[in-house]
Amino acid sequence: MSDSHVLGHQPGHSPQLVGTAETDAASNPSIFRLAASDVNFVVGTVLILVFVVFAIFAPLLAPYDPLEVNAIAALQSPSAAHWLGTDEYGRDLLSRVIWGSRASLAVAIGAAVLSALVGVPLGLAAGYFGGGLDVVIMRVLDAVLAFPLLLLAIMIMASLGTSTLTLMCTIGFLYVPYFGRLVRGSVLGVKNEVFVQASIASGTPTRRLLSHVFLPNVAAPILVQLTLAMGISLLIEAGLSYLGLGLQPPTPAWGSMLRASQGYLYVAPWYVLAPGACIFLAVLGFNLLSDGLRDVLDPHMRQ
Amino acid sequence: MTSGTAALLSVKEIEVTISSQKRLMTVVSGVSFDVRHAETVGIVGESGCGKSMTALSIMGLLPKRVSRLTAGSILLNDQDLTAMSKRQLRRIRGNEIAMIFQDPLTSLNPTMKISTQIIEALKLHQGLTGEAARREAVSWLERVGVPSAGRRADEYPHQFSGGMRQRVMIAMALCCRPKLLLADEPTTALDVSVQDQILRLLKGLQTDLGMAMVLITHDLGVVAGTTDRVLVMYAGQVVESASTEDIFYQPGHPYTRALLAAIPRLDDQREWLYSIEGRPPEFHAVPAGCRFAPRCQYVIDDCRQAPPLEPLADGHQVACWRASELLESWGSSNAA
Amino acid sequence: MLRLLLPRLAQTAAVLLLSSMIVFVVIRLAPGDPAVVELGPQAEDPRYKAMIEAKHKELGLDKPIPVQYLIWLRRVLTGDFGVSARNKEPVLDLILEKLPATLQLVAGGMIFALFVAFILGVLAALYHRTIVDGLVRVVTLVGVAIPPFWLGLILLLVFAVSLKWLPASGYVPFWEDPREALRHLILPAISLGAYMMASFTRFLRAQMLEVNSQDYIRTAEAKGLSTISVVRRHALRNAVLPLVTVVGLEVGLQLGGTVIIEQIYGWPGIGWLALQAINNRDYPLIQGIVLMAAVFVALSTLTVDILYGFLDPRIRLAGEQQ
Repeated sequence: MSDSHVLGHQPGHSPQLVGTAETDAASNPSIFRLAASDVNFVVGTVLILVFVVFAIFAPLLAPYDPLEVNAIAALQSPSAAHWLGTDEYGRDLLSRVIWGSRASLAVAIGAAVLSALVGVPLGLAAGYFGGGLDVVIMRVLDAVLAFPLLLLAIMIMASLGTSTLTLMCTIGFLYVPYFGRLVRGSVLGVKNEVFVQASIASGTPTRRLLSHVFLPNVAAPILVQLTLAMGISLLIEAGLSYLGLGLQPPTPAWGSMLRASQGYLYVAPWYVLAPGACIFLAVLGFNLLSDGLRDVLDPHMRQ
Repeated sequence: MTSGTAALLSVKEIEVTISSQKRLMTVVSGVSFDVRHAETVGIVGESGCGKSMTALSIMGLLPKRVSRLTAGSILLNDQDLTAMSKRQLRRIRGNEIAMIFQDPLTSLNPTMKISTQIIEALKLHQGLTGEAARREAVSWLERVGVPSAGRRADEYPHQFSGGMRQRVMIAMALCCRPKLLLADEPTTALDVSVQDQILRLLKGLQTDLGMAMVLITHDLGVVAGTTDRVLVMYAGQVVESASTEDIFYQPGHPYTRALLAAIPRLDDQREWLYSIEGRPPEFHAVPAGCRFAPRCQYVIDDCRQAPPLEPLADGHQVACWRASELLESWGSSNAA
Repeated sequence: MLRLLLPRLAQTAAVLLLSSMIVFVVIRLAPGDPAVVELGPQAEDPRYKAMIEAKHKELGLDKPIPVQYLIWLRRVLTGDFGVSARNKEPVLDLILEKLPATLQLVAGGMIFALFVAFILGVLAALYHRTIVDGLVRVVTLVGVAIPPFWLGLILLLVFAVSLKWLPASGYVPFWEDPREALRHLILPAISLGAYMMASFTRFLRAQMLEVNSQDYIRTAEAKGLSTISVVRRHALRNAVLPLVTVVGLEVGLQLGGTVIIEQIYGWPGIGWLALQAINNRDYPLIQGIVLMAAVFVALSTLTVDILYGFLDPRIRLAGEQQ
């Protein structure tokens, strides 16, 4: 949905212009120029980059130690010393929020990637081999989809414990069906194309077929879905942390910070804003990036 | 053009511009023609030559925001349609001018009964409701040749065959007795056997209702038995305008001639079908001068200047510098 | 119609079966002895070893896992969801007791979402590529990205804490006092419905845009109908149809969201119950809730598919004729 062009009558536009190199370049810009001119892509990337920088350079950027307790300075409103105020233990909120990027982004990205690593091969297999394998895989994926995401997540976390790895795996597991379906759909769509039939007919080994013929055609939607998955994973992780089932204190995490802030809503209303805003902006960033990738990759691929 | 009788529809120098992918393109330029009462005018040309856009602009149905009528006027009984308010236009649509489209399947609402769709028009323009409206709708369905009309009126579009659907479209368009019908490729999406039936149906109804009709098609064969006059369009312009007979027997423009030559004939001895070399110009890169020049076998230097539409004979206009000259040689070698 | 229905029912049953397996497996992975859960922590005392063993036998814990699953499944199918580890009440009863509150919340959220989505979606499509469309896009972007729990807290902060216009918590059944019920329902419903609203708006907008480019819209305009008539009688009818499917999907999934929303607003529903269960490590209860949720989702998707088949004359008549 790139609304970046303006419709208007250009005075002096001469319809007598014969096709030139200028018009050719206009219809086939490089993918980078396309990306740079797409609002979604740019804003999304900027947002994510901010948080990535936070995550990587947390030790350098955070003014205070996020774990440092200072009971006297508890629940202070934003001030010059503490830009976002302090939490109930006197810890600097800004620092905790910056450090929070680390854990949250790590889980979000990790979960999304794990999800893709499992979901994509499943989808490829289901789509390519079809038949019984397809039915079985699809039913299993449907079974996972039959659960409200969060409920399944909390059930798993409650049973298996709340290590970061479990968290990543759980969220990743939840999202596998989305990748599976997506890839399967793409494969089915491409399977009947002539050039694919030709490859199959010429005896290309299956593995090569999958990696060189199907995968490239499916790569674009996967990439789009991957960024989307990161956003949703972040949201789920925040939700789980909010419920006490995600990243555990004292690890600074936006979700658990929100949980803590709830108790002090009446006393320290500013506490709620920062961690929630971070989750919101990060998810927004991933969503925009995903939209941007879709804008850039899809129409371009059609050419 | 006209011989004393006032025209029902008078299109004057219209220009339609569309914007696509950041480019502005003029897809119809300087098109003028008249349609008299009860007359049948055919507009012939390749896909993309602007004939559909011309029809849509008459109805005021150009796709909003991507296309506009940028010049010219359209007069219906001396009232300028281009200067009318939306409300005034709506009273004319379906009521005085009606339009039928190429694909009857996609042109009918799939989730609405046929009777409802026809009654909609009757209610709007004639104020009919309830039983009276339904009876009128059913009688129109009978009139266009839908069997068991009473029962079938309550069915949905997907339950009809292609030809039947087109009949339904015609019933829907004519039920308010418009004075002018614009038919945009009404038979193109149909089987050949059905095409003939539909055309005869249209002609019959036209006579009954004393209605004028503009028949748009890319197929000269469709035009042959149906129209009084023909306009030939190319690349957004009218290149020839004449009576149907003249178009077939005395074509003035090289493009018209090429179209005629492309019609396969049973007594043709050639092994290869004739086709015109080249393609129409893209609208964003239209050549200066005669637009057909790049593909024309009669091209001369003068063709770098766009030839205007000039009378060749009575009621016959051609946009070609060499029209009269070529007509003589054509006449001698193509006695039909 | 039945011919189309049977395979769909079979599919639903198969999926539910697989879902139950997932629930069973995950719960079994939880630490702790189910026998102890049922009998109480005192049972861990070595004096009661015989009792434990007897319980193990009863629960079939001495048998191989697949058999255990079947025993469990049979209990579930007869409505025996086990008893809560905490207060020994039947899980099913606990769930049914809290269900109305959650249904009220979900209904509220759904109504809010649909109402707003209709307005925004149609407007955005009609005013495509104008400021209106842009504004709606911003709203949807925020709606899908904003964490529901944050939204809930902010709404609480603004409307309940600062402005004090609405109550901060509590649930009033609709049939007891509609007005009070509504006052308590507004904030949680909006918090829950925001994501759905954004999602539906996007969908409806896309549908309307697609429908608007259809030929039959042009035909309707050619008949001389006003824009409102065209939208109302032709565009909406066709655009809304697929929305039914989407709504059905979302309804089921919103149950997850209720866990958090109910917590924020002190709403005593299933979500709140689930959270209690989590905190108490009350596995039978967790199991029961998740299972019920899966059934609910499956049923709502099935219902919606049937409804869609009914509403779309192309499908409905195909089923009847054959």
